Amino acid sequence: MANAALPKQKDSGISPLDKLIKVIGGAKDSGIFLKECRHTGKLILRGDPSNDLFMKETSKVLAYKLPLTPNTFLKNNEYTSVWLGPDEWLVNSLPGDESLLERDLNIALTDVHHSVTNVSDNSTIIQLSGPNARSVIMKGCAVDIHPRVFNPGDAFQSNLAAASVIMWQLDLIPTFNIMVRASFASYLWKWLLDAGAEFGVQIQQ
Amino acid sequence: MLYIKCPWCGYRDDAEFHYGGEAHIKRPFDADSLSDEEFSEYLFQKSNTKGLTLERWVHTSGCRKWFNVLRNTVTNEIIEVYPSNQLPHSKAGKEYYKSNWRRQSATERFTILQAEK
Repeated sequence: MANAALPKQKDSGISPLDKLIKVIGGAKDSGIFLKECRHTGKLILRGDPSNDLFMKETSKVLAYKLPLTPNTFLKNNEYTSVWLGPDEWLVNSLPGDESLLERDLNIALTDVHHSVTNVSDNSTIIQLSGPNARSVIMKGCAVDIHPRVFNPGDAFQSNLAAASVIMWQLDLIPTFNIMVRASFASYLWKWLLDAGAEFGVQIQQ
Repeated sequence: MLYIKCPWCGYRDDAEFHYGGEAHIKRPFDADSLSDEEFSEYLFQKSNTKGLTLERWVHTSGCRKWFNVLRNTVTNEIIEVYPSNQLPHSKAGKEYYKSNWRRQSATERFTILQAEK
């Protein structure tokens, strides 16, 4: 069973924002760019980082070591790993790859105390980008995201407009990935449109 | 409003935290040997001090880890934040911990006696 080839999961075509994102586009000189990262694979990985075997086996699967610095993330072309706690990480995969990654991690960690949970459909990722992205986040979140203390590679868990989110900064534009529960996604999307209205919002596919 | 320093995540708004009540309440080692009155000290009696207090907090919206805080209930000054499995490190914290009535309660007396055996 463990070695059986798992079919790549098909995009069900249903996302919590489907009913909201009907019009794509907007002014080119917008201050805000919004898009949904549809069906990104999301796993919650737990284990003891002081166990060398755990760190070794996970780095074999992910091709890099899990981040141990609080509120940071590491990524390569395939996987993004966000620090959530001293023994907990969020591992994102490309859409459809989550079952394969879940299997690979479970096989690699057979002899190690660990847990891998597929939470892909629990939440969705909204990507907020553009020169005014920081101003928009600052309207609804008390965490300090000034470039003096918050840069690409940094992440945090907090509340954005009262919705609990996991957020990480990808680049210097700046671009932020905002992971939010499916049930809060439409509310947060509307809130972002409203908060970004003064800067102009372009919705991307 | 409080500005609390989570041991993992750093300074965060108090809206991200939940309060967990008094810290360092030890469960009686041998509850059967306590009278109802003595057991009620463990179960119901809580410190409600004006001034320093040791309390537990959890970073609900962040790393979801528990930790202890030494806070002054009059000024809301947070003097010390330390891991939940440790005793306070600061001088004020040590003194408060030692002088707390709970150290003399039957619950802890029996806990310590049992541990010595």
